[in-house]
Amino acid sequence: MAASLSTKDSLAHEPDLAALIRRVAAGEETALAELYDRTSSLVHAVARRVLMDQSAAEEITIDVYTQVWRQAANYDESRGSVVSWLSTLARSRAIDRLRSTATHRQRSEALNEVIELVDPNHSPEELSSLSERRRIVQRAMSEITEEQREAIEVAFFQGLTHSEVANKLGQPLGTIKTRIRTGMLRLRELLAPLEEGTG
Amino acid sequence: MKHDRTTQEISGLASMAALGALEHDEWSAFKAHLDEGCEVCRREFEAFQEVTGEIGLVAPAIPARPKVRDQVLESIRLTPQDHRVVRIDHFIRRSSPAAGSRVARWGAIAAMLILTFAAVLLFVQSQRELRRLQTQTFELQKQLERQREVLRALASPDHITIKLTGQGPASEARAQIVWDRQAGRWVMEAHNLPQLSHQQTFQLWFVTKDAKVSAGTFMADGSGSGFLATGVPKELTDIAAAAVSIEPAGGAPQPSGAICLLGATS
Repeated sequence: MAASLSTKDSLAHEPDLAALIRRVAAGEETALAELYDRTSSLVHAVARRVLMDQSAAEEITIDVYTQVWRQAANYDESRGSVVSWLSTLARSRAIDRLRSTATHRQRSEALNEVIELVDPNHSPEELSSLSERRRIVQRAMSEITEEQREAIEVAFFQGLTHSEVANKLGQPLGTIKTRIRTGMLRLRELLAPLEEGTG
Repeated sequence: MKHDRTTQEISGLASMAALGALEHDEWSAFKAHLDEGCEVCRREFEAFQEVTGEIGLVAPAIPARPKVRDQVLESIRLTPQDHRVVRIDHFIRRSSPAAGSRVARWGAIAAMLILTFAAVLLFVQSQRELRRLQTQTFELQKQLERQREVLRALASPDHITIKLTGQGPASEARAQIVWDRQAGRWVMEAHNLPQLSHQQTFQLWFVTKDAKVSAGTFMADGSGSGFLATGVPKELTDIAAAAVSIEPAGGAPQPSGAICLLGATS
């Protein structure tokens, strides 16, 4: 997938998020509120997909933005986008929570069957802010093979190592390693426009 | 052994490390390699960390309930920031010389220049002093907020104190956690911590019989003191100890670096 001008243009709002983080680092509560309005659907969605529990996902969301408030001064935009940083924070905290439960909740819903609808009342600002980026990522995920996507998503959303993924999917370890490795390499190529577009 | 160029093997390893898919021993070996200073592998790892973060966008947007926004804003009001940039806008007023005779005019210009120079000097000095006082005020506010956190926890009718002692290379370090069991909150103050590089952070862990769960990351200030206030997950009913380890910036899913503080809950 080549980077198109329209794609880059549509991501022009991204530097604004880095500017928001700088204002948060300077102690502006209104900047944190704006950041929340523009990105909380991502943070909450990642936590919810990992935990399959709305209340727990909301607790994680509070923790993530509190951490952002505390550590905004440490954010280095040259090392990654705000969206990626928030997603990583949400995932890490949610997986910590998942592991801390005495018995992991049975995730009866197959990942492919988890269909969540976007709340029609959701902030248009937030939707416009992330929807283009989301579309690019979802398109990239659709361009790797089904098997690669499944292995990567299981590792990402369930916090599993490659041997645990192999066990869960009933595939040989070598096969899973290959799927994850080749899938991630391909994703890196496909998502390059995001890095170019956002710095 | 440091690498001088990227290979498919390096990219594969870095991609799985960033995804968190390596086994514990594989991750430890890879992290040790990064700590040796291999820039090629570090760049690959950071590039794949960015890709990994983007995967979160696969999850369809789901807003949290409106009350969560209020809770976030309430939470940050109680949370001190690690650092704060104090911005001061400089403003210099320009003056024009008074009219008069040529000599008087030049004299007035010279006097004005001297006065302007003196005023600028005074202004710069006062700005420096203002900046110093603002920084000092901020530090005092931060300390006050932290002490309030500690006092709130100590005032709880159901609290215990956990003493943490320095381990290994951080044997001089010490810390205390006040655990407000009623509110489900840990408030930790640590001192004599070693200085870390920008690529490292301290990470606090809830230690149970079966697991080590991250309680959050923190940095030490110039005097080696650190602070962290964090919620205790309700599911953790058997916390036996608290530990602080040194981890890569951003924290790790499981302790992978040196333990520098350790203390039992009883």
